Amino acid sequence: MKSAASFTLIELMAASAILSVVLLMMVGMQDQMSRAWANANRRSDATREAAAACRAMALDLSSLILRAQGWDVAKARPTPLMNQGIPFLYYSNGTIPASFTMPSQAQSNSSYFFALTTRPPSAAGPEDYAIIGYYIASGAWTNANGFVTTNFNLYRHYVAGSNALEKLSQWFSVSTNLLSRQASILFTPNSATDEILARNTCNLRITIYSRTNGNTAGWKNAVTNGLNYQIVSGGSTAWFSGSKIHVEMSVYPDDYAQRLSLAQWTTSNNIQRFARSFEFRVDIPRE
Amino acid sequence: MKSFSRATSAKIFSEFKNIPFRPGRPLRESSAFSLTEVVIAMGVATVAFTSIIALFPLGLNMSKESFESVQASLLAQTILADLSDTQSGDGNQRTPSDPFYQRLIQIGPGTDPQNDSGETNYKTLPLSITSPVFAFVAYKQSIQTNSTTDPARALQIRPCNFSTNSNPPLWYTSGSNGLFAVAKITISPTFRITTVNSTTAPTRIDIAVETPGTANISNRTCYLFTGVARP
Repeated sequence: MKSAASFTLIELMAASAILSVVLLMMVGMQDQMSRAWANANRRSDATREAAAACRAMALDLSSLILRAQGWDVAKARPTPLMNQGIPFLYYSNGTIPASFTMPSQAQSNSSYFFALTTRPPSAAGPEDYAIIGYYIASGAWTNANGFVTTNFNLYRHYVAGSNALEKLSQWFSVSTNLLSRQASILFTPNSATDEILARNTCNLRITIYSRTNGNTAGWKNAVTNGLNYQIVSGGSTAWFSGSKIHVEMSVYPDDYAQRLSLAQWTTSNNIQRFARSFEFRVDIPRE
Repeated sequence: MKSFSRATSAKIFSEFKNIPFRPGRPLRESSAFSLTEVVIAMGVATVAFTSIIALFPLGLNMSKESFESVQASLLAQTILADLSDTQSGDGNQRTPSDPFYQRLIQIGPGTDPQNDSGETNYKTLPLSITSPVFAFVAYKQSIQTNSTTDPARALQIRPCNFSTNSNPPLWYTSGSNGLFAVAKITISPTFRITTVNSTTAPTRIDIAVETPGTANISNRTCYLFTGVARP
């Protein structure tokens, strides 16, 4: 007579085995899910930083003062800016021109850009003016785990108000000789003090497009790479008649940024596989 | 209450002491899960598993959607910059009589309007209009072509197809393989205060960027942007 119903050892072992398999699958799924979440978060963070940087740059660039001499007749500007070509500096391939010093940590083959900007409505006072600039340089920081890592960041150089106009006054007072005016008078990037717009950034490309046939009567010559300004007495061909600025950049998620050596950041293969790339254009205001 | 003597109680206990006590269950020779219990248990397990599995694509979608929304806003920013720009291009790309009423818009992977006399990468759109003008642009990821010798060439979202036909092209309505996004641009004289072909009144520009470009029009996420340009 079988008077009691209970699980046998075999049944218990079989059930335990099945339960173990199910639990293992669940843990595996949980692990994969956590990884997917973490990766998605890191990519979202990178996208968010890039979006914020793009918005900030678009604001600055849409209120640039890029002007050749003679175009400022109708525009009220503070004294140092009247009847002057406004200098700006940019390079699309990271080559540093003579008489200009970029921070030693600057990313090679990456663009930089420095210019004067204002926010409309502009006034005659200095409070609306600023020198801004963008470049990528490396810097060390302590991550969430307490480890010090070195990565490339997008920096924004900013000189506000009266300081910017003081630098411009100094610039214009040096000489009417184009070669005597050195870019370092105006633009002094320093990654130790400049603000970081976006972390884990590489491959900044800034291109200024100008009007075709810039030599056509009534229009100034096309802009060239490098320091661009007009001496008071005329004679330079470095006029700006530009149309728009094109900005490209790539951002690595945190995990990939920490895995790559600095030399590997700017290879096409890594950028295309691991980074997220962004670009936009801004129409440049003309005076 | 009926009472038993100690001897009777001991006898009854000795008969039942080997039967395991199972509260709530009738005493029977064998016990097992009923079909109802098994079905309910499977139902609960299915709901739990489905909930967990549903979380998988959620994180990935979050990342994908944030990327798409940022790219959509940057594409709109670029389109507005193109349509605001009065300087790009030369006489061959504009209507000679009123060159600044025509604006160049990028339709190919090349970004430089200066080196494009054949309308490969840029095409003109009119801004001085009395009735709406529509344009459709398809975008896909392609390697930047600014310089073929550049050691660092990124994948960017660039135009690959274009149409100004008032009827939407098939790749816009049905989507197409490989497309990241499609955009519909509407240039309308909404802001005009006169009906004449004014040369100075602002023109409204509506841009609808829709992702993913592979999906049918009814299955896409649409990001709307509005701007103004002056002829």
